[in-house]
This record gives sequence, C-alpha cells and structure tokens, in this order.
Amino acid sequence: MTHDHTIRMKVNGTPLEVRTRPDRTLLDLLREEIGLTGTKKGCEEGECGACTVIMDGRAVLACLTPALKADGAEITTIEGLEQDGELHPLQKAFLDEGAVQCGYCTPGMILSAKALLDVNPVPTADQIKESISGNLCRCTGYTKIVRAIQRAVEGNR
Amino acid sequence: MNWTTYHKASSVAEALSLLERSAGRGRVIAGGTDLVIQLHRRTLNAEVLVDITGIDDLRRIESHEGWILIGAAVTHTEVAASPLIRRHARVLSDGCARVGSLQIRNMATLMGNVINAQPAADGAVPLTALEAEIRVVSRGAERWIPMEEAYLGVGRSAVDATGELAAQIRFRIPDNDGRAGFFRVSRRKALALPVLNGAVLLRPDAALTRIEKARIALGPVAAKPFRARGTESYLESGPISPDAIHEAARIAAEEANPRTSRIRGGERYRREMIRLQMTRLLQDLLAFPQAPAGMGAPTPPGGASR
Amino acid sequence: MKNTHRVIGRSVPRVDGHGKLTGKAIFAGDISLPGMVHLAACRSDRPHARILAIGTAEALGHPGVVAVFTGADIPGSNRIGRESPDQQVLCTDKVRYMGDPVALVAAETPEAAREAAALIAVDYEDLPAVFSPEEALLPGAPRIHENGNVLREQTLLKGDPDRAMKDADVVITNTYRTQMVEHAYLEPEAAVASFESDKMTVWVPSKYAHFDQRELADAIGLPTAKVRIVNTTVGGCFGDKTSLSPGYYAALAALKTGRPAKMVYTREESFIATRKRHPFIIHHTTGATRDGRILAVKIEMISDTGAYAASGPTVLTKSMIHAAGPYDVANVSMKVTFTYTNNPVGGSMRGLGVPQVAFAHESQIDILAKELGMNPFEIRKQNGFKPGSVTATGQRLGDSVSLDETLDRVRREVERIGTPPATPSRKYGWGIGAMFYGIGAGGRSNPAIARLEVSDGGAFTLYVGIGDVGQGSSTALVQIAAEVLRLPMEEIGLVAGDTDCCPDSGVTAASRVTYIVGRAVQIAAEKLKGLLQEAAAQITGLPAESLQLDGGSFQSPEDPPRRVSLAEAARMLRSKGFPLSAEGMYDPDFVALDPRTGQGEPMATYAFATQAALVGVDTGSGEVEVLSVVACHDVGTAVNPDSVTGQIEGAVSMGLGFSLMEEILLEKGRIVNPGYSGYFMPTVLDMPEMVSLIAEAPEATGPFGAKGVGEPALIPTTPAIINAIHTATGVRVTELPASPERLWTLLQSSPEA
Repeated sequence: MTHDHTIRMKVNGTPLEVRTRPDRTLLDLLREEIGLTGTKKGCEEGECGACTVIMDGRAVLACLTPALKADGAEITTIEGLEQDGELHPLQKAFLDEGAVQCGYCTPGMILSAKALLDVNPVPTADQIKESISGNLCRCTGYTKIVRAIQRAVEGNR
Repeated sequence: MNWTTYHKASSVAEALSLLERSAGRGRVIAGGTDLVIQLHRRTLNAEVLVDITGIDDLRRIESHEGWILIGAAVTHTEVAASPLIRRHARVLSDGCARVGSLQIRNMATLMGNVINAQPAADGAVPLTALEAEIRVVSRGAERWIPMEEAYLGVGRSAVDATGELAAQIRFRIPDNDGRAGFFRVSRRKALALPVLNGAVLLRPDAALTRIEKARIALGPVAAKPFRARGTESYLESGPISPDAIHEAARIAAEEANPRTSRIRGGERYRREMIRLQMTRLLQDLLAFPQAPAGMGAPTPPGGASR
Repeated sequence: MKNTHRVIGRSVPRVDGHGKLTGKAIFAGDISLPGMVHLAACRSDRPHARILAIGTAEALGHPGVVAVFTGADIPGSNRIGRESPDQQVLCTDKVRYMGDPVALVAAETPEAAREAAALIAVDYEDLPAVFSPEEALLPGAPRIHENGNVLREQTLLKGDPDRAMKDADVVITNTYRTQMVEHAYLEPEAAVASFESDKMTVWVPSKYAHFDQRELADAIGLPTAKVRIVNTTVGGCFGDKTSLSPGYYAALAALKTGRPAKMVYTREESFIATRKRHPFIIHHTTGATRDGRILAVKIEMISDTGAYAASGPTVLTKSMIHAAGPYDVANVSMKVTFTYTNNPVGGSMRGLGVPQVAFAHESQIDILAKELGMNPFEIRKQNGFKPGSVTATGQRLGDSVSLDETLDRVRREVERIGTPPATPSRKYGWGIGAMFYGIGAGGRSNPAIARLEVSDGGAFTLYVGIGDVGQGSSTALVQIAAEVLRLPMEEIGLVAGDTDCCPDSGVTAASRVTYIVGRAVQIAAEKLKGLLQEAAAQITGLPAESLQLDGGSFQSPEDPPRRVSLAEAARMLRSKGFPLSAEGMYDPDFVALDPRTGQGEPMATYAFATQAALVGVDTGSGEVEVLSVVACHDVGTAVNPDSVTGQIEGAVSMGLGFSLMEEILLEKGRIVNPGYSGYFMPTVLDMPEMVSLIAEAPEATGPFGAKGVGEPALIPTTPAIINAIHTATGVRVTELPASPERLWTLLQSSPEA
C-alpha cells in the first residue's frame, strides 16, 4: 500500500497535514485518516446526501470528491459546528424542533442548510427546501427539519 | 487500487503535457461526480488523474461577438446562476438547475455533463438545441466539434479524455425573442434521473404567424441527445396554428425513439409524454390559449420557462 | 385537559439528540479497532441452484486476503430465523434467491475483501425457479423447501358470511395488488466483532439484542453467555436490521481469525441481501345493506414471502387480524396463504402486513360509499369501531377507542382547507383512510423486562434491552421513569441494548416499545420508588403513605416538612442489605387465535387513526402531487407530542412513497433497481403540507395511558392518497404504486377523465 500523497487542508478551522493513499475519497479521508466519523457514508454514489460537507463555502458530497481534490481546501464537517460547548443555532433548532430521529442524515442535512444560511441568512421556505432536496431522510418526513431551519433563520433576522 | 497519481493542472498546456506523459493511462477529471463512481466500479480505469478545475482560463463564462463561451471548469451551479446565461439562454440555466442535486451541481461541470455522454443529460440536451460546439485541444492541435458529433454512443464521448482536453463550450446567443423552454419528466421532484427531458428554441416572425427557426432536442430517446429535425422542419414549414402545434408534437413523439425501461417507463407511455410535453411547451412558448382536457397546462411538471 | 405531569405529555428534547447533532453518536460503521480485518460476502447470482463446489483458491491468493470462509467452516448450527430457522449464515447445499450468502472473505481492507469476493468461483447446478406466489402454488411447481412452497395458510371464520352475503343489497368484489418495498434506512448494515478472552463482543445496530445474542451464539457455535451484543446507534430500521445482520459474519471472522472484524454493507448489498415488505394479492368482497351497514366481508389473500420464512408468519397473522378494517362486521371469512418463491426474502416492515390490507379495506369502503351515494366519513362512522365493538377475531374492544374522534377532527380540517378548482389538465380531490392497529405481537406472549437502579449517591440508571431505532423510544422510556420518580430527566441515566447488563425487553417491533417496555419501566420505577419510600418512612418514623416524593426527596406533610433525600433513602436501603434496584415486567394479556376460526384476543390494545390526503392529478401525464395530508391518531396518551407528530410525518412520507413511487423491480428474481438512483423515495420537495393531530383516549394498561404510533401512522396514508386520486379523477387504482404510467393507462380508458 502506498501512502505517497500529502494533503494540506483546513478542517473545521484547524490546519492539517494528512498522508494518504491517492485514490481515497474525501469521505474516507475524513472518516478513516482524520477520525471525523460524523460525516456519514450512505450510498457512495451521490444519491443520498449523508456525506455532505462544506468545501470552500459550497455543500459538496464527500463520497464523490477525490481526497486530493480537497488539497488546499477549507472543509467544515458536523464536528466543526459546536463552539465552546455551545451548539450552533442550526443544531439547537434541530434539537428544539424534534427534527432528529435516527440521526444518520442529520449531519448532512445540517451542513446543506448551513451552506445556504452562510450565503443567504434569511432564505425563503422554497430556498430552504431546495437546499436540502439532495439529502434523503427516511425517518422524519422532512417537516420538522424544514421547520428547524426556519427557526434558525428567525435568529438571523 | 485505483488511480495512483492526482495532479492539479494550472494551465491547459500543463494538463496536456501531463496527459501526454501518462501515455493513455491518464484522464482528465473535472468535478468528478460521474468519473469517481465509474473509477470505483471499474467501468473506467485511469492511473493518473489530471484535475483541470483550477485552471483559471477554464473557469469563465463570457460573451464575445455574439457568442457565449463557457469554460470546462464551470459548474452547473455557476451556469444556473449566471446572469449572462439566464438572460440569453434561460433554457440552459434551467436545464443545469435540474442536474442531480445541489451538491452535485456545485461540483459537476457542464462540460463533464457532455463528456460523460449520457443521452439524458439535463445540461447537454439544451446545449444540443442551442447547436453548441466544444473546443477540444490536444498537443499542437485544436478543433471545434458540434454537440451532435461529440458522441460515439451511450456513455462514449468523441473526446478522448486520456489525451485531449475539452476546454470550452460555445454557442451563438439565440435571436429567438426569449421563446425557449425546457421540460423534464421524472418520478419525483428532486434527485431523480429524467424519464424525459427536452429543450425547445423558437424564432417566430414579428407577427407571430410563422416560425423562422426551430431547434429541438430531446432525451433520453436515442443514444445521444436527440435533435428532433423532423419536428423542426415541420414547424418551419407552415403557419403557426393550434393544429400545427399538435402535429409538431405528434411528429416529435414519432421521430424520437424512447425505449421501454423498468425504471423510466414503457415506450408507448414515454412517446405519449413527449407528445404531451411538447404540446404544452409549444403552446406556452407561442402563447396559445389552452386546449381542452388532457392537453396543455399553465406550467408543465418539468417547469417550462421563457 | 390540563397536563399535571412533569415530563409526560411534554415535547422534551431527545436524550440522544446532542450526540446525533454533533457527530458524536457512534454508529457501527464508525467503530475502528486496531488490527481489524474487513469482510465482504460472496452472494448467489442465481435465484435457485444447488451448490456443487465453492472454489476459494483464487480469492485466497488475492493480495491482502486473510481468510475465506464457507458454511463448512462454521462450528455452530449455521441456522438462523426467528420464526422458523430455515436460513443459513453461509449456504452449504442450495441457494434460494439472488443474494443468498455463500462465502465470506476477510481481508486487510474493505476493497481487497470485495475484490476477492468477486473471485470466488461457485459451481452451481441451476434449478427451476419460481417468481410469483401463484406459480408457487401450481401443482408440480419446483419445490423451494423440502416441505413444499407453502409457508403457512391460515383461516378465519366469524358468523356466517355466506348467508349474510346473500342478504346484502350490495356486494362489491375487487382484487388489490401491492408491491415489494425496501426499508431504505439511511444507515447501511454494519457490525464490528471482537473475540477476546473467550468472549465474543459484537457491536451492531439491532432491534433485538437478546435474540441476536441467542441466535448468533447458536449459529456460530458459542455458549450464549460467551456472546455479548452491544447495540450501536441505529440509523433507521423500520422493521429490518434483524437476524443475519453483518454481526454474524463479523463474529464468525473474529472467531476464526482471532482479529477484530468489521463488515459494512454497500448500499447495493443492503438492497440485495436484506428483507423486504411482503407484496400481497388481496381478493376482497364486501356485502352491505342499502343504508350502508356492512354485513359481511370475505377475503382471500396470497403473499410472496420470498426464499425464507423470516417474519412471514407474524406478517400473515397481523394482516389477517386487521384485514376487515376498523369496522364492526358480524360475518367474516378469510383465507391467507404465504408462499415461498425465489424472490428476495419478505420480512418485517413497519405495519407488518397491515398497510397492504388497509389499502384494500379502505378502497372497498370508499367504493361502497360511492355505490350507495354516501359520504366517506359517514359510512366509516356508521360501521367504525366504538368502545365495546367486536373485531373480526371476535375480540370485544375496551374503552380506549377513539376512531370517531379522529374521523370528526380530520373532517373539520378537510373542510377548512377545501379543494382547489380544477384546471383543464389538473384535477384535485380529497380522500380518506381509517385504520386500527393492534399494539404488540399478535396472539402470543411478548413480555418486556426493564430494570432501574439507584446508587447510594442517589443516581438513577435505567437498563433496557432495547435500543432506540430513531423513533424516540429511549426518550419516552426515560420520561416515564422520570415521571414516576418526579425527577428531571437529566438525573436518569440510560443503558440500552447491551446484553451484558440489560434485561431482555423483547423486540423493537409492532409499535410495542412505549406501550409494553414503557409499562415495564413504569412498574420498575414504581417498585424502586416504593422501596425508597419505605426506607424514608423508617428514617422519619412516619407512615410511608404520608410521604410525598418531589424534587429528589420524600417530604412529610407537616410544615415545615421533614425531608429525606433519595440518596439518604438509598443508603438506608443498602444498610439493611436490600438491592438498590427493581425490575418491572409486563406482558399484555391475550387469547391465542383459534387455528381454524382465527378467533381470539390477539392484542391487549389497539390504536386508531384517520388520515386525509389532498392530491392534484395531472390528467395528461398521470402524475400525482400530494398537496396536503391531515392525520389524526389516537395514541392513548402522547408521552412526547413532538415524537408522535415526528412519527406521523415520517410515516406519511413512507406511505406517500408506497402509494406513488416506491417499488423493488424484479426480473427473474434479480433486483433491477438496487440503490437510491433507481428506487425512488420521497425527497423534501415531494412532501405535502402536514396537519398532525393527536387524539388521546388513555389506555388503562399502558404507561400513563400510552399506546403506540410508529406503524399506525403509515397505515392510512396510502388508502387516503388512492381514494383522493379517485375523488379527483374517477379512476380507481387497485395496484400499487400508482405510478404516472399506471394512472395514465387507467385515465386513457376512463369515461369520466
């Protein structure tokens, strides 16, 4: 096994240098090399959104992103949202609205929503739905998730 | 083991020389959203990946002397949001807005949508109706290929991504008074492959009596995005009328060749849906009052635009 | 009604919410142990074949491969199956569906394991195969199991349906077909096992850890006491993630290699290898009087249980108990046949056969209403269950029956929302579906045990064998304990689903957790509270019954009160040599079904509900959009209202998928769409506006009056949508899903549309 590539990236604000096999995806890099398992593996074919992370400000699918593509990038994962023990307003809203059930889609959902709110702090309901339309959830029927994002938006007004 | 080397090229020349040095074992990667799956499934193999998304020259959308040019590193999200494209080729921004999911569109490039060579591609279908061309460069050579010649078969591009770089897409700004639309039929409202899609551009005369130019592309009804030439020439051949719209839609359904698929539906149904969607889109674009039951709606499910 | 409870009836945040929101919750796939091997299975690509030889040499020689196992390497029984042990961990003689496991590769990386699994050369002799239940029943059909192709046949007879049918003014007969459906939870199956000091520990998302412990021990060949199952966070289950999960393979590999082992299914494997919702064919005849009273119902049903029994018997029984619907019908006959085929295995899935039969009985009653010119709400109220009504199995219902209330409240909402005007290409309509659903296993014992401990520092820990599968059961169980002890929820710890320290609470299934396990928790908490109260009485010298528990201490009635903290009471108990824990056990009453007549009292309590759906139908294309769903569910008492409405909303999305888009497509036993790209379940854009209403008719035997909602919430959605399509277009869909093409075909031949 070759470990011949070094990747430099900023993950959740921390600069990292990771040596990795060249043919890994960003998802495997995060989960297996860096140990950030909050980003979930749902389908590995870009159809479920469970592996959504924010790369240089955009929501992307870590399962379809070669790790080496992320060389030099800034990545935000679910582990990077809590600050000094305080939940991010989106996390807090998900908790308060009952928008979490099994929790497997939750990290990806929150990052999709965060990518939207970072550029559009007060989106419409349609924009909120569009932002998570690439994230499948089998438990909640999405209703409380949309409501939770709306609740987080209220805090931005 | 999959690819063993990954380069981020900083210029087209560097990308080409990396490909050349890889001697057939290299491959261009842009967004990678299709390619990574193909490499993991071993339906494609490459030892060296040459990432072109950092090449500044390829990241631009620009207009120049009546043409629009889109670089190979431009994503669907960027096309969909581009004021230039939205103003001059709404049919393309609408198609790009329907590709995959938001996360896919953020990574996947419009050029990749062409090179991946799927007949259902929501970006490539409008490009076909726009009669776009792609600029293919190799060491010391460069050529423009019309969209219709960019395909060798389903999933097979005429561009050899192991040695060539498809650098740019261009098309003439349509002089069609904004009469263009995109339709899409799918089994759910997001994250769904198209059962059918289509792009229509019409240039009627000033009095709205005749169509001077019609360009229609449909997918997935053939091995590549399908130019409905019979429908185009019918529309260009006579006066605009409600009957002519129905006849044009009928011709489109007849000349297309949708196959029966367990996932996309039966051939007969899909033909009927071409007829229905074409009728609705043409009515909408030509602003005829709606036909009675079963035909015509203010907004087709695919979301026509003008 | 004013809620006098501290935490019951309040939408407290989930106890597992913080971990799931921050990425800290541990799912099995997140676990990594030093030196572990990674596993991949070689699965049958034949629907029905005899195994002649399994060639493993090439796989063994593949770089990174540590070992390859076949059934011959398994020291145990190699048999699994909760209701009938007819399935093998690794097939030795025969494969019965495309996906049957044949060999297992252990390698240094998951990729190497998968590559090597593809190199295993299985020499098969193909056997004639059967792909439909009708074919399976033909004389001379290829035999899938030695005892034939009928898994089970069951009958029910109440009254004299033949005679009553003759008396009926209207008789309606139709055949309904439902499709095979995938659970499609977002977390694919995963497990990690480690064998150390003679003890096998398996970390796995399980819906029944204690059963997995027994079955795995037997199958792999270890004493039960030497197997520990630790339930990891469950990323959705909906009835699956049951026996023959990757835990069995991980345990086998850990045992054989001496290294920890990990197996994670790919999404495709999750589709191919796991169980499915049973497809049904239902012949349903309803006889009624001119004024709308249902006199008799006759039902014959056949279902495809696939290659193995799995949960087939339970699904069969539950479908039969509920097939006549929530209606008081004096004369009923049923015959239900489940057959084996060479299709994927039918298992437990949310509703256990009842969503299938509800599609039929709710279509029938709407057709009847139309025939008689009656309002769909009225005909349901006229025939619907009320306290004291008698079910098709002859069970007289108790007081917790509020079907009427759910019908009335849904009707009011429907009238409030109204129907948009039709356009030339788009028609709108409302439809309704009603249901009843028995909580727990049908006609058999299904006990739960829970244990509550207190430390001598006064810290409480609740132990249950059951893990939260996402539905919020852990939160509900802690709420129940906290309520009894009048403590804030944070002061009660929870250990769930670890067989080394938790009691057997039974399975997470049949909407039984809040009702049965919750009751066991309540009993345990009351027992422990009683012990502590006695201790406080001894300390104060006051009669125990005079002491009130609140805010962490027992208080005497005088002013100022004397206080004894729970910690002091616990220390007193300990000093007297009492254990600082109490167990609660609950097993609801039942009367087993008579094997011939199907008469009995299978469940102690039932949930009731009505849902209404507003659809817009594109009459040109057959596309259906669900615009609104109004759901009203009688849950006894809502322990956590947000959890209840969360279950309703999630179930409606699953019901919407079942109605319109979800279908496992098979071609000679092969799944054509084994993944999310070809299996369509609803996205956020497909969801309707939701109105979720809770009706509360407290159940005397439930904890604080609670029943269940997880499955009931799914059951009325499909009939509501299908009936709405009929209201909008006049077209009656009798086969699911109501895909655009299917509906378009019906619309083409409909005079009304």
